[in-house]
Amino acid sequence: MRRPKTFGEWSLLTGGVLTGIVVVLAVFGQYLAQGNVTSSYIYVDSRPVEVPPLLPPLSQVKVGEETRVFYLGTDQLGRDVLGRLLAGARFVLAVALLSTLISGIVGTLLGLISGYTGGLLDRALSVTMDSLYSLPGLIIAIALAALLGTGLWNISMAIAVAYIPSYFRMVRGNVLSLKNMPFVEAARISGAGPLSITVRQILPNTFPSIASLLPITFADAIITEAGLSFLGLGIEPPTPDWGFDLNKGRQFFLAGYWWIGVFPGLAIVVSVLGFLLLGEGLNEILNPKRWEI
Amino acid sequence: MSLLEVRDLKVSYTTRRGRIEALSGVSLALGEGEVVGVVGESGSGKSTLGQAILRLLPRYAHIEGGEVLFQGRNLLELEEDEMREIRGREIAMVFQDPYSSLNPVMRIIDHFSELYEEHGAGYTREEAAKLAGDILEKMGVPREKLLEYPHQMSGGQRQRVAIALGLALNPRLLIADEITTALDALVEAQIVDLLKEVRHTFKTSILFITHNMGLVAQLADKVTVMYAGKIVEFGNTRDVISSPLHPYTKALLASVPRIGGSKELQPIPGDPPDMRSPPPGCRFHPRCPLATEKCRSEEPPLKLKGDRLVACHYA
Repeated sequence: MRRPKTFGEWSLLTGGVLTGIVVVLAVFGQYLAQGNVTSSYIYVDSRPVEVPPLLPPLSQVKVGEETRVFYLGTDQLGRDVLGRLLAGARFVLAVALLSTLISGIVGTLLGLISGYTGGLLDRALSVTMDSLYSLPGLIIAIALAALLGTGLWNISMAIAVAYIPSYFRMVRGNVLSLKNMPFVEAARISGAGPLSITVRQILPNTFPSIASLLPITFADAIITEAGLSFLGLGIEPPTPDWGFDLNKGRQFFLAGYWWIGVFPGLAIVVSVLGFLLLGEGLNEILNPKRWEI
Repeated sequence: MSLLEVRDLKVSYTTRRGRIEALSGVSLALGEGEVVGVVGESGSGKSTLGQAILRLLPRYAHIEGGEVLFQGRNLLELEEDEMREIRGREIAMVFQDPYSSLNPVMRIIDHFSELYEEHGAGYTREEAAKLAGDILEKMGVPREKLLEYPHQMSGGQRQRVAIALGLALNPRLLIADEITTALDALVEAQIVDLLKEVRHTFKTSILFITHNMGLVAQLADKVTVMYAGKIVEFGNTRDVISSPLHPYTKALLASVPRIGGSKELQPIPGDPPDMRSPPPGCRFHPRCPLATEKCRSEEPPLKLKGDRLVACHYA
């Protein structure tokens, strides 16, 4: 394989590798880590054995004949940090994916309707969206999460609402300039109705800009999710979650038990970086307008 | 009976700076299989006329009066649904700019299949591809281009595709709104030849809107000269060009360059009038070399002169 040349190719490669690792670990994580994720016990020959808490990384625990290695140590309740890390990836990615999809679809639809119909509806929607947009995403998500409660769907919804305005504004702007294009008028002249014009003529033309926003929202949603669960608004403990573990680890950090918080924190950084780089790289490579001549 | 008859059509635009009269009582008839040219400067209302016929005027435009009779039905009174049926199937329109009149994210074939679907033709993919390919070939575009995107084609080819799309449902009337303006002279000539062929093979009537007298001379049976929202002269192309009656038509013809012509080009002095307050009397009087007191005060009616219509006191 040839070496990547441009910045875009480098970010695509790095982002692809990082995201690939995160996704693979999220999907196959449960087969890799045999440790205890939610309880303080490991089962050896179906007998529960208590794991000592706060073991440093690479500690070995001998149970009878068997030796278990805790590669990233154990936390304050004796749970396997690696196991929680891998299990947490699933939840974070699921929330990020769901909220990105919801906000993308809802924002795009509203933007299409608002931009195409115009008038009072457009005014009302724009004002609503602009006021939402003026608040930081995390604040909206916290407020909604507090209202909706915990759980995968609720968290995803709360985060999704925070990102709807980005899609709405972008799509609406696109529609406003597209709806006066001659090809739209040409479709109208050939007898197309409003629905067919928006869906078949205008919508496909907004895809490039939507596609460049998707990875950004995705990465942002990971941070917001981590922020929510850091504040205890994410998922019910003891379900593993990076943000939650980061918060717990913070309390033990200064006492010298750094591994509890550092690894979930690193996981957040790596996955966000991965998705951002992937998005940037894809954008650079797929968007002809950004090609250097 | 004429295919299309426009009677006393009045259209105005409401803008921030006031009301602008775009068409002040335009009448026009177009027979089956006929090609009528509409000539005029920018702002004379010729494009407004095309849009008004299809009822595709922008929101700030108002049709204030008149009738547009198409096969005896007044288009201005139809429901939006009925109008949608007519657009594309009975009356098609091709635009000036071939670079933006095709959707950049759709392949050529998708443009056709959408058109067929919109009018409930119910063709399968293969049938649609075959029909679209046939008509493209008639327009001088190779069939293989069906699977390409607009950006892969030249301006001339795109305009051919646009014309093919206009003709795909075999409409009775094609409105061509300055379709050669964005093209270079060579391609322009090819498109005009294509339109000549179209009128013979498809028997389509064409309303050919342009500011180029030369194209009208080549293509149109009859010509309508418009000035400031009014028709100043209407007649057979040959007559109008060989012996123009209205001073504006004369001035327009004198400003067209001719190969081998010895006379110097005569520009028309002055600018078209500000349509927020059109000049009283004859609208051409401020620029007319023959203008008299009568022209300044009294509006000349469009009157029959031989087999021609002309709106001038002294024609």
